[in-house]
Amino acid sequence: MDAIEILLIEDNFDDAELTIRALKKKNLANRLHHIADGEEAIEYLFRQAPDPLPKLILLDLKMPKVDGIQILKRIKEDPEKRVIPVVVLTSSKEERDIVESYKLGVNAYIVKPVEFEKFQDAVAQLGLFWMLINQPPS
Amino acid sequence: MELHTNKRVIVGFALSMVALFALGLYTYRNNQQVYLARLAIFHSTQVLNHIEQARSNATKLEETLAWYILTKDSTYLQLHSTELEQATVHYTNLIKLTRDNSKQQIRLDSLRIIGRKKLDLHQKLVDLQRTSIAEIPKPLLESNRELSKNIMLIINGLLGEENRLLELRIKKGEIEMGRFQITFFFLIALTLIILCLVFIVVNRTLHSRIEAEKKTQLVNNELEAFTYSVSHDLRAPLRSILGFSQVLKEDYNQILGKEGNRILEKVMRNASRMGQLIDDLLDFSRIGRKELFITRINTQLQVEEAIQEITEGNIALKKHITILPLNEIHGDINMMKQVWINLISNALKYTRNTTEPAIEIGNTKIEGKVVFYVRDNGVGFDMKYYDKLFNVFQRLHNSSEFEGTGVGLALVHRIITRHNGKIWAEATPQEGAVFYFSISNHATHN
Repeated sequence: MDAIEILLIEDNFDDAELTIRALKKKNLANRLHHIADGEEAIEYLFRQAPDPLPKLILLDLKMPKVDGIQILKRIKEDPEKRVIPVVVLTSSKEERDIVESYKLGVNAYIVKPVEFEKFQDAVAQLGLFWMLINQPPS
Repeated sequence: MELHTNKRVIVGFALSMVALFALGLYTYRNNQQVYLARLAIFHSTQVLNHIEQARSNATKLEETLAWYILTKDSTYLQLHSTELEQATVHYTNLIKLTRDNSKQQIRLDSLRIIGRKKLDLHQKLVDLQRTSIAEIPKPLLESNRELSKNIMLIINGLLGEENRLLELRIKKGEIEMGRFQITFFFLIALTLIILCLVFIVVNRTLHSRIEAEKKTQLVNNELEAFTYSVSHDLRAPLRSILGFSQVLKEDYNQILGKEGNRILEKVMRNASRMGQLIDDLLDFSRIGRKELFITRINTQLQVEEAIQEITEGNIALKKHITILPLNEIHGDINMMKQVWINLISNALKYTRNTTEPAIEIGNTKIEGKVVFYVRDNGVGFDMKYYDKLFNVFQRLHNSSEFEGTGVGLALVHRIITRHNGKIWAEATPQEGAVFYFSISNHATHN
């Protein structure tokens, strides 16, 4: 299997499908891995420890058991994994979620638009930016 | 409940004050009585003292006379007159001290009469003794002894009466003291009980207020959790509806056909609208919960920024708007910006079909207060629906004519109210509308 480039952590399969579809249109979903559970995401990142690391993590906040904030905290506290860009992709417009995420060192915070076209644009843009335009530390 | 408690507390305090006042008054009165009783007792002892002295004088008068008769030494006569002088002094004092006691006055009067007789007899005895050497006749001595006995009887009567009075006064004082002590302790206990009751009532009120505050806090937290989940959970399925409708439209366009696509459009439009409603409602609830952060606001600059944001630099739109000089105010900068954005975008929206739109933003002074206004020459509205203007989800125009959810003005109203301000409007259908608002110079920080 090829190395994972985008890790999508999203408990809502419908949202995940739409996200993947939007990325696919820009040809960015070839090496995408979807995990639908917070606990599983921790397991994947910290037990299996993929090598090389994913180039981008798309993270939903509200998930059962282990939520996105906790995952974000674990990632940004880890000396090795903190360099992975994490983009929060959530329905929550709540100020405290936004503030908390930035305090923990999130790289971007995107509120999922209800309108599909806007949603598609947002996902495509962030995929393009983080995968092709942004220069990560090597 | 509130008023009831307050009344009880006030009544309680009033009662305890009355009890304390009564206590003070009663103690004062009692003190005076004690003083008077003491004076009376002192008076009695004075009287008793004078009586004792007078008795002693009477005895000594007899003695000195006897010694003179036996020795014929004139020194005894001098002693006799000295005693007499002293007896007179005591007698005068007694007359004075017992002038309000008729019984004693009568006794003293008879004492004077018998005393006079006795002195006459004494004089006779002295004269006899001086002029003759013969024995003093027995009847004279006899009557002298008789008079002495009478004098002693009267003096004893005086003493007895005065002692009786003294005893009476002491007893009366004791009774009054006892009564005072009972009343005193009763009043103190009463005051303490009333104060305790007041304390209990106040304490209970305080307790229930704290409970109520806790409950309110709980309700607020629940509400926050509720809006939070509304924000997340209602938007997610909507996004799916819209997203998969779009998938249908993109991938199954052919199969759906013309009618299928028309219906799909309707589904998508309604889902979008619902999304907008949810977002607006969330904004509305967020404004209500957010704490105000009051700073000085450069209104001129804020209005220009708001216009820039609304028109996104569209010069054609911008040129319809005239901004007159605007005063600075104190308020929450983000919320006040929302007010301007909503009012100005409303003005733009409702002048959309006007041939020559004109929007004026300015301020004026009404009753010494700065009042801002946004005036437009748009479609206006009928003043008979004015009471619905600032309500949530209330619209005075059809949404097919002018889009909107009916939250914008409700939001503005809420922000102005939270700034202790006032907002009102005037309009004429097809001629335009003016929205006025003023906010307090001393907007509270909550």
